[in-house]
Amino acid sequence: MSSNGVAVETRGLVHIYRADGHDVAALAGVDLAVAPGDTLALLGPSGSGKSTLLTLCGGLLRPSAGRLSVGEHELTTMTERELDVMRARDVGMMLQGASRNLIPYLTPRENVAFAQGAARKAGKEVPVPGEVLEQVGMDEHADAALKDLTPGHLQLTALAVGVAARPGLLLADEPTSQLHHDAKATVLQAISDINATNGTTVVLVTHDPDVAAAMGRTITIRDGRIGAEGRDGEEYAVVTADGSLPLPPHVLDDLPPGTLVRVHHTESGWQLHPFDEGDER
Amino acid sequence: MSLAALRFRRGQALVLMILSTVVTACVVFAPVYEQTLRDSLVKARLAELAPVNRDLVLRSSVSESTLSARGEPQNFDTMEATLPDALRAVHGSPKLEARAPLMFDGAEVTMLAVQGMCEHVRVVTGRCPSSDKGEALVSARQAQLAGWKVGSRLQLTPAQPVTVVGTYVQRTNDPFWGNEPLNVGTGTRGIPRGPKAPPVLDTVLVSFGTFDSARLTEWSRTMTLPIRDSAVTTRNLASVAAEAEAVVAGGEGEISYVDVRTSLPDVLLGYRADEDQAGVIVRVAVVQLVLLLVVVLQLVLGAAVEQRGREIALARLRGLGRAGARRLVTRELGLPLLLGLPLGVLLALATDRLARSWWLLGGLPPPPYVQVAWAALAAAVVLGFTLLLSVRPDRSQTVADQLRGVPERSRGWRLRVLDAVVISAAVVGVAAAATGNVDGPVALLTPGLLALAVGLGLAHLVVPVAAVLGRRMRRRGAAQRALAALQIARRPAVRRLVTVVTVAAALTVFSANAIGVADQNRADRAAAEIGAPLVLTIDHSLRIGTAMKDVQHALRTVDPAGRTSTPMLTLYPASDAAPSLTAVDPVAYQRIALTAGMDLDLSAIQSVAAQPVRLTGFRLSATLSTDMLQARGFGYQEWARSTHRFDAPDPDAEPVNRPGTFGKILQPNVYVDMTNAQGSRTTANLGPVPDQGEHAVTRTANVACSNGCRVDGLRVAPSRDADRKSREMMVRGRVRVTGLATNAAPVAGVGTVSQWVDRSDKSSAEDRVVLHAVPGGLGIDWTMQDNTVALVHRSALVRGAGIMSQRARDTAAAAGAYSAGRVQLPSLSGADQQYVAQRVVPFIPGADGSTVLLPLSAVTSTTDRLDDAKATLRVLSSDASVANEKRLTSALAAVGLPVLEVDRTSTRKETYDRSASAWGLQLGMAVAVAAVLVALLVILVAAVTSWRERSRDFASLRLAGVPVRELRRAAVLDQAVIVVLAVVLGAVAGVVGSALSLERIPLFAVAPDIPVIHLDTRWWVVLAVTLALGAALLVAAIAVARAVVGKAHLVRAKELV
Repeated sequence: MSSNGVAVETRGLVHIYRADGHDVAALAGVDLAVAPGDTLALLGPSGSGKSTLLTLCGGLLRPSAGRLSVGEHELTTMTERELDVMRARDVGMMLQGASRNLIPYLTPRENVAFAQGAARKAGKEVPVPGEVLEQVGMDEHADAALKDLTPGHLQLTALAVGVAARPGLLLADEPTSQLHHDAKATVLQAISDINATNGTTVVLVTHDPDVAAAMGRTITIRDGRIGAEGRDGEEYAVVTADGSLPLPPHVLDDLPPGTLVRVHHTESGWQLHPFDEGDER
Repeated sequence: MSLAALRFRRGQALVLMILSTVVTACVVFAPVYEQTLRDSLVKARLAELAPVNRDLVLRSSVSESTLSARGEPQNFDTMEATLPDALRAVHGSPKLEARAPLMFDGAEVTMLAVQGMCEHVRVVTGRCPSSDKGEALVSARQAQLAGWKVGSRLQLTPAQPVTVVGTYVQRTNDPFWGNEPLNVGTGTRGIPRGPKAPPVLDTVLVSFGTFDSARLTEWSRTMTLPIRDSAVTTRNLASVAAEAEAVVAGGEGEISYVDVRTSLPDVLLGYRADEDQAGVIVRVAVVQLVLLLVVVLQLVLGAAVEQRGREIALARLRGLGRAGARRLVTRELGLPLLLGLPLGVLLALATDRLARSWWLLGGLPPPPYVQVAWAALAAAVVLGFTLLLSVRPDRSQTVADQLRGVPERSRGWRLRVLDAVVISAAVVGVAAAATGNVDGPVALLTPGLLALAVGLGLAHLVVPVAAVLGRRMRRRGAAQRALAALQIARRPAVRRLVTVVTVAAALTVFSANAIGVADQNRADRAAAEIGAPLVLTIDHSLRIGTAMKDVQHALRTVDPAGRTSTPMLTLYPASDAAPSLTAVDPVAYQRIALTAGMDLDLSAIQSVAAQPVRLTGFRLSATLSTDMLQARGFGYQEWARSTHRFDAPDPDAEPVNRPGTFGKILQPNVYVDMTNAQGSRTTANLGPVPDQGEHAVTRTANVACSNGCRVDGLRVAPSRDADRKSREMMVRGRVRVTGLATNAAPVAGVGTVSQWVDRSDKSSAEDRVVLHAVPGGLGIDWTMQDNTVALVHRSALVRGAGIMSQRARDTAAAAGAYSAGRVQLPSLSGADQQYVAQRVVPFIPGADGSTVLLPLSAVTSTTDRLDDAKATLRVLSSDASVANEKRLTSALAAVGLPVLEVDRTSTRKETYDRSASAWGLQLGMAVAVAAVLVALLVILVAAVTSWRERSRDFASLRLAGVPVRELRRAAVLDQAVIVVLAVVLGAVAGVVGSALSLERIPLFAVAPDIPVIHLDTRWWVVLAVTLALGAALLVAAIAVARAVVGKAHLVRAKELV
């Protein structure tokens, strides 16, 4: 693995947007650290804020509060131009839906070349488009028309475009949605290969447990906060900076909101003990 | 990448290229057409010159009075040398001529030498004169009549006899002679001459050398240089006209006694009157179209940029930044615009060529290519600026916004700042024009501004209204209509479509209406000014006698029933300030005259003259009796009876206050004024009235009334030998004139008292004349300072009732010649007469602006001799054919009346059609066509830019179970509603815009003399154009709607790319 990857770190990241005249907190204080070369899946229900987090990491939106750094870039203080350069050189993005990543009238090779334009202009050495396409297994279809490609090939092309400039960070939003099993596996394999070969840090958003399982870490976002983190197949609740501890959803059946809980320290660790009227007596 | 993008959106690229082509064509065409139009104007002004005025003529002459100072006329070389090069360059080779009027054997003869003359006569015998002096070519007919033969010597001048070397016959219709007949002596009829005029011989042709040695006292050299129309252009007209003016003014010494005649300064004046209008009309027409096109281009580019939102977002996502993304789109959209540029230039030049061949004049100089280059550059700037404006980044949009799959749409009513500014500016402009606060070219933009305001307003209203209606209809279950309404509310192209179609409809309707109104006005003016399809002006200046009768006779030979031709006589007053009199046969005139839409009711015009008193014979007699004749003055303060003896009181004595007596010398004579059958006026003196108390006496006088006379007046006036005192005394008297008879045969009375009008010159307050009826005659009582009574019979006074033009009423009133419906007008006798004006009409067809129309019978009842009057005699004919013209001309020539001028309404209309205004407004046709094309283009663009999304929407609806048929109907309804609404409102805006701005459009270079301009909306034009436009756009819109629905295959609902 090369050491091309960049770290991502957020501290108390808040993003508020306005909808129908009301302020809505998409992210309400997210603390997250992703090491260079890590692979991370962001999980969570729709509207939980995972895509917003991804977008903030790509510098497409400005956070409302908190800090956000990608590699050596502190995104909250960067100018638009600097963000452009960062996206050109260091951050690749795959938007949800392959076609949204591609210029419809260009071939895969031309799309990759188009995506490399800004990086090349910024002085970064980038591989020739064919090499990028080869890396994702699209070299055979490099000059095909997009309309002739299968959804899996389109997604691979979108991936190739996302990593066209050999970015240190790949942000992918639902990279395998609407793909059948084989295509999904191919795309996941390609992402894995890129991570392994280029050392690219990968942060992706998914609803798919298989995809999540393929990532080194998973972060579950709930109501704009980090609700849980999974490592090596084990899921952990994450204590937030203000000391709160989001419980896993299945626990909420037993401990519905409003339940009084006593936290006990035992020899084996901390225990949650729901309040019972009998306890009081 | 740009080429791939163009290939991907071929239709859009094509539309952009077409728009670029049209915008460039308009921007380039405006100056090119303006220049072409100006060149055409120069050419038209030159073409309008009468043949006699077309040439530059230099004439140097000597006469008996100038002979000693000048010696002989300037020679040709000197004359030509004095012409400036610039002036010489626009004229062709000179035609040289020497001419001398001579008397030969008591007859007038012209000796003429013209360069190249022998090629334009047929030499019958002998040969042409050589360059040797003293040789002559005489007319074959004259030689025959005079017995001249080849070899005969004619002593034309004392110093130089000429030898006849040949005889000739003039070639007929040869323009070389410029309508000058050489057979003036032996011609079939010749020009009528006075009885004492000497005879005339045919022209004698000689060589130039003959003049040099003839020692002539009166002769001239003339140099005629034909103008070269193609050499006179707008570029040099001003300078050559100035040179011409300087030459005419004779500023240079060498030509001090050369008369120069040229029409170039007049051509310049005529052109100047037109050229400003040309600029105004062309620029306004083109500017409106360019504005529309730029708006359309901006809308199309806006749509194209919006459609490229994903590419822009991706470009920003990949780090190209706003500028990079803009460059990307600019490159892609700029390419078709750039390709359209040269095509636009070619289209402009082609359209200019088309205009030259269709409605402008041919043979014009080529377009000014430097100007074309500048205009192309301006077009490029316009296109570039519009492109940059369209692709400018929206700073409020983040990359994330741009990446959103479905762009956020505003719900409800929202007016963009730019639209609000445009609507406000348009409303202010229209309001200013409507209230008259804005004038000139800016006011002419009113229709465009109004249409823009209406279009934008409608565009912003239609979306929320459609949304509300759609929801309401959906609730009511009217699915199809609800779908159509909601489509209107949802489609982003609706606003553009509504705006552009409204503006296009307004411009089309306005242009068509303006063209129609202008054309009608030109036709009306031509009709009103000329008066009939064909009008011949007769030269009666040399005619002695009754030209009127001859004209009527000639017309009867051609048109016995008087169905197609009628005479018109115009009498002009001594002062230009007074109105003229136009006399016609009301029935024929009503039938033949072109009234230009005016309701010309001639029932009011009639002759109200009394039946004239007529008498025939050579001796006139009448019985005179007096029962009172008294005088006062010169010392007699009381009335004193007249006696046979004149006893003047002693002027040194005290004034006496007693009845006195005066001498017979105070007895005034009685005169009878008459007009004979030949129109000559004659007066019979019946001698003095009898003394008071004397018996009635019968007096006689010889008169030349064998063929009949009409009694015009009766006068009682002192005899010529009456002295000053008797003329200045106040005299009162009473006389009876009875028993009027000729050759002892009584005349049937002298008419009733009411038929006589007192025209005595009353100088004192006591002056009065009273008429009373007496058996078999007339009684006259008078008290007059000058002892003179003048009575005029109404038949001579001719008080006709007519109709008068508005300007005649104004001018007559200003000159004090009009009061309470009575107006003083000139008469054939030269003296003004009074007429009644029954009605006032805007104008009299074929007559002056300031004139009174009367029946011919009223005007000629006194006399029909034109000798003393300043008159014009014309023939109006409803048959404008050349054959009819020839028939009339021949018939008039047969009675010795040559036709001076031929006018046709159609020719006059053509002249007006060759004006800056007409040619400028023709551009309106191009504007209308272009506006329609633009509207069609926008409908196409709306489809091209959104068909994928729309067909995807329709596919989704099909998936949801909506039948294709319903979808198709909804799509058609959606398009039809928009187009119909926009076309109707646009047409209304066009009509209102016409009403506001047409009066500011100059329809003529020189305003008409008569109030003939009507700016009423040409409703049939408006209706036809609106229907045609609506139909064309509707068909296109429906076809597009059906095509989009046709592409709504179910698979599109899942379309990824």
